[in-house]
Amino acid sequence: MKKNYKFFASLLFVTSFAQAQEFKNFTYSDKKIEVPKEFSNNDAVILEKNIKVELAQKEKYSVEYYLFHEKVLLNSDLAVENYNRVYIPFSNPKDLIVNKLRVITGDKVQELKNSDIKQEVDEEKGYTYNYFAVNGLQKGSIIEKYYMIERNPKLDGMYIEVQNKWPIVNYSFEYIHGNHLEYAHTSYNGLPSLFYKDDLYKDKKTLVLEAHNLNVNPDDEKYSNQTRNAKSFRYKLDKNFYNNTTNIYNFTSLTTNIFNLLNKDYEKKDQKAFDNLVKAIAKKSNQTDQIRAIEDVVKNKVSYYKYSKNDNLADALSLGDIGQLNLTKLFYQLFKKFNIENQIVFTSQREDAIVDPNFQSFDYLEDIIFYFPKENKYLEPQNRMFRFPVIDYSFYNNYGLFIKTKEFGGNLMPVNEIKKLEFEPNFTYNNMDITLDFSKNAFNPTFKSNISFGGYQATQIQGLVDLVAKNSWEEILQDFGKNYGVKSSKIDVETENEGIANLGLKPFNITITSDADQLIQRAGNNIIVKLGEVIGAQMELYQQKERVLPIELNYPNDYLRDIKVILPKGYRVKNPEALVFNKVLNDEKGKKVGEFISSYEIKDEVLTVKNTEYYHFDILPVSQYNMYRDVTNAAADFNKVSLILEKI
Amino acid sequence: MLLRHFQNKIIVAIICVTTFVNAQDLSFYQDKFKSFNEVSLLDTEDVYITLQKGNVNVSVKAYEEYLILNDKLRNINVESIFYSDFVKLQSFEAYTLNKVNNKEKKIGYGNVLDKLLEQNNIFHSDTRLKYITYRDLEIGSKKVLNYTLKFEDPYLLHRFNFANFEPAVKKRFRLILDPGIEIGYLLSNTKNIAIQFKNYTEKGKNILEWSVDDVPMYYSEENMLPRNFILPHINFYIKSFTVNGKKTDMLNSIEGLYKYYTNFIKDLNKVEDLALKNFTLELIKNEKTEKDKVKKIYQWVQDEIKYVAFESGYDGFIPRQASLIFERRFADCKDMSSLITAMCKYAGVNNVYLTWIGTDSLPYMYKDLPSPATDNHMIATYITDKDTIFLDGTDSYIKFGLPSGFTRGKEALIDFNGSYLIKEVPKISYKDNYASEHIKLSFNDGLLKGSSKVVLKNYLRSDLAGRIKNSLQKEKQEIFKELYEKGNNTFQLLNLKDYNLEDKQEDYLFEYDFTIANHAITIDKELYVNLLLNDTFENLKIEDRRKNDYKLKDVVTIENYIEFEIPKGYKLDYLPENTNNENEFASYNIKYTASTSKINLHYKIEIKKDVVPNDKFKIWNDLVMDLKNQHLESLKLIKL
Repeated sequence: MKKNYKFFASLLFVTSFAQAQEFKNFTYSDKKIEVPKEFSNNDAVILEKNIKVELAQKEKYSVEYYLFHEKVLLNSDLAVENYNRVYIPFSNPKDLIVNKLRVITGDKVQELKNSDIKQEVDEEKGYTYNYFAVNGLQKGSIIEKYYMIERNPKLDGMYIEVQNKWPIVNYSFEYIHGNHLEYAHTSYNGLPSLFYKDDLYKDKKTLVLEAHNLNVNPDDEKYSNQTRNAKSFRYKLDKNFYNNTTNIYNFTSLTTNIFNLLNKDYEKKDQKAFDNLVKAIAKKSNQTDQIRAIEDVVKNKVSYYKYSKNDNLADALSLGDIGQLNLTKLFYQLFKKFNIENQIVFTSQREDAIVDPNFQSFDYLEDIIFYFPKENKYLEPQNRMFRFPVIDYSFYNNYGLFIKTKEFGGNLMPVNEIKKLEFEPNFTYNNMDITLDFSKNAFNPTFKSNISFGGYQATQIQGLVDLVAKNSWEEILQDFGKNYGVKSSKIDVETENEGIANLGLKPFNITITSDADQLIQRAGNNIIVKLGEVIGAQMELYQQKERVLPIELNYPNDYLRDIKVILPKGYRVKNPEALVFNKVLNDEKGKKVGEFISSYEIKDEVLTVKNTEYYHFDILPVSQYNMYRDVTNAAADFNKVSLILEKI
Repeated sequence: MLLRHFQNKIIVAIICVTTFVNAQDLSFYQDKFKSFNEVSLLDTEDVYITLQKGNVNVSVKAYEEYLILNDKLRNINVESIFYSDFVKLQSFEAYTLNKVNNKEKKIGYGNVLDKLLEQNNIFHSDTRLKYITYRDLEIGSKKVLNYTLKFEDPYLLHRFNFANFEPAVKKRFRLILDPGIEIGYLLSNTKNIAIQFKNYTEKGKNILEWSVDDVPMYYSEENMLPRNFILPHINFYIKSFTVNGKKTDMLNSIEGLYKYYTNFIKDLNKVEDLALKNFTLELIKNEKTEKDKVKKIYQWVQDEIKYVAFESGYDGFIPRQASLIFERRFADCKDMSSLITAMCKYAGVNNVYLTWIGTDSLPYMYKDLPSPATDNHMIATYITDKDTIFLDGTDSYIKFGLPSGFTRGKEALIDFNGSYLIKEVPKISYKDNYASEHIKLSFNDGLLKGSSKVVLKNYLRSDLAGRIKNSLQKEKQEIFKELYEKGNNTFQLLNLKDYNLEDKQEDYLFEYDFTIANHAITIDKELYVNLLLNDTFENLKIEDRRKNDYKLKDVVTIENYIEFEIPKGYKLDYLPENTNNENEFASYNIKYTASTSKINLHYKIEIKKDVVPNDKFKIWNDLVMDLKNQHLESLKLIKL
């Protein structure tokens, strides 16, 4: 969303002050830096990373000079491969002021030649970039680069993730601006706080951050969120003492601007296109059906495209791609036309940005979705795979800026509120009803599994049938059958409620039928049955490694499994107690938030097994990890249970 | 690897009256191509080869027409045209045809976006794409694209596909020749498609026409051969042209191709670079034999020069000077070949030669297609009286003496002392692409515990060593775990040690310990253990509905030696039978031997061919299913 409201942001003018580039003489660093022992095993180590930004005045406009400096020790071939191609993006060719790079290998220093630099304009994304391959890079080399660009000031909120895929020995950040301004800032996950230094540059204030020996943010932990846990910081312009304004960038002004824009009448041509679209939408008697009917028509007609060049509705509908604001307005106007009460929600997917309810910043308002108070559910305009009330699960467990319309003295006004998007309880489930029947053949039982996928268990597959060719769909179902069924040479898969039309309304049901001779092993007179395999492979956390990040689920989940085994005549189960499990997961306050329980019953040559497994939480601290692992692994252990059928 | 412009692109032609589609046709195609968004009704390409002022000119007029079948208009409102410095886009026209009041209404295109083609392995190329967006598409709309291309170099042409992996109805390809032009062509993979050929004269032009009226559907599947081995297509090339009775040869023979290629290398490494020379002499100073010197140089290039490809115009064909590469430390295939040959010369070895070669994505032989379309890669070749050794600088992990995997079995066109030489790169026997694993296994407290020693040879060696060298330190353990998991996913890999990772000439060796829970089963006095711990080959059953031949990753021989220590106080009660099976593609052999303290299993698998043709799936599957059943057999031990 940034681009569009940046326009409004620039209307708020920063008053003039002396212009200078305090770091225009910046050059390579010859500082000797020791690599701490704990980093020496990494493929690359960032010895220094320095970012300097200066807010300055150029002619009538405010600009930012941005300097990026990085010095990296490359310890492996892989690191060399990572660094031997460089891309530097900027908006306009003349905006790149300095671009320097050198490679230090032992005593040898090789500098980047201008003739090696290639330039290309990305018409699609609307920027220019320089790219080049780095000469002379080897394992053991140090690559040092800095570049300075001029850019539009980013005053309404910047987020910088400091922690990186490589460890950093020395990190610094400086934001230089006039004495009449003040910035608000906040740091996350143990990164030191930013602070003001007034004596660094003459007549200017500098917001400073220094950090040392920053370890990597683990990227290989299952069910974790790196973004939420990265050492990082935010800053934004907050006060201008010159004209005595404070809290300059706040959500109220954004809300008003957006509200006006969405309510502005369409131009004539666009209005005609809009009216034609309205005609194509069937009238429905209930609100959920009406929302879906609107969504179907829109999503079949246009697809969201971040870099869409169609700035009016008529072109977008004709050409089939539409930008964010245009799409939001279209839905907004359609809901208005059909009298559907809704709120606009500005937010981000939580692996892209964590919305901080205590620090208003525009950087994390990347996405726009709709909220319907009557149903207490959401709609995601951009994703053509989803339909109300299914939105990407990454929107939940993050905060959002909700904008609703209130009437004040006959005028409609926007009102905003920052709220968390909470998961709908019991939305996602997977219920299995399995029969393994030995009655006809003791060595080749038949297998039948009815599985009901609800919520996010279904969204991965239910709508695919509408998007892929028939033979691909059949292949997908076969793979699905293999994952959720047993090993077999011939698997039949039947489905119910397939298609986007059923998404989020009805569960996706499949029935897998096959023979199951691959579950059986003979051992003399007895039969070994790998019964656990009937529930399909389970996620496991067997590897013993110290967990660093908190556990963050994609979404809460429920599993119910009923397994019926019709035993072969003349056999009895020798070890049914292998089917008994009881593992519980508590949160840090001792409240039960998950479990894996399994029990059995044998009656009239029928063995019945019941599994209950669930995870009802968003985030758990590392302290609960062992319990979480035990519950998860209990299901994985169940998957390996073998029963011995003993000849009586 | 070089990527020749356009080779995978079906481009098409003009001067066609648009086909008329009535409602009946629409429902016919909707039914025939259910679940597809569109069908290509017509796809034609006319190649004009003309003589002007004694020069050969080649231009293409292409026409493409699609019918929209589905209202879920996903990703079909954009068509694209490839072009580059060699193949200039002269003009294009694009429009939608919609039926309004029973008349076809033409609607002009919307946005146009020009973009560099992004390719994984190529850092910089001049191949561009023009994306054109169509307006007002609906069910029954037709999408038309026509354009003209001009080939700047009449040696560098492209191919035309008579079918693709998308629904299509009609295709037509024509060569429209001025008198005096002699062309050659090669049709590939045309066994299952009816192509009509006509040769006629029109307005003084010699016209060769190939057309298909009912294009069969080809399916894209996993594990299939590269598309040029599957899709029916034509390659054409200009053999010669005659002006005023004077004949000029172009690609008349392999000689003609070689002559064309020598233009690209005639100025290569003519000036001595003292720094590189001294460096080379220092590098090889301890090497006694000529072969050792070549080996040392080759391995230095493999290790120290990183692959970065620049392919812009003739940069995609002309190798760079060795001195530049030496300074840059990055190169593409032909640059590496330039550096290897130059360094060998400095070392006094003059019998290492530049060599053009097609990788395994190209199915052609030089004698059938003496044109630049036959190759896409360059290596160096070391030739002695006894030996021919192919040196591919782009494969950093292969040992000296072994050709890179993707050049096996291919023809090499060698620049041999002023003329050319063709040699076939050797293939490897499945016996030599070998892995063995020795496992010692014991049972203790419900856990199977083991220690393992693995040996990998040749391509199995270079594949894994390459993967390991290209991974982060912390990922290595995971890679081994994933590849060598045994029993079930409780498998824990411990104490991993590997040897010879850096020494390419040696086998790659590694050792590890492991534990597996829940694999051995104990009940009362009985213990059941399945010694067949891996199920890699069980999963190779080919689905009945598969259409294409099945391409396996490689030919291999794998041997496992498992020694299971009988736990104290137990005795053997049941030992599975020894068994084996074999067909033309694969074999297995399972052999158990038992003593009072140990049970040994020798388990051997051979994959003898890497392609299973469609009509042999049953033979293959029978063996796989048979092997699967062997995996169900457990040992039974009884407590005394």
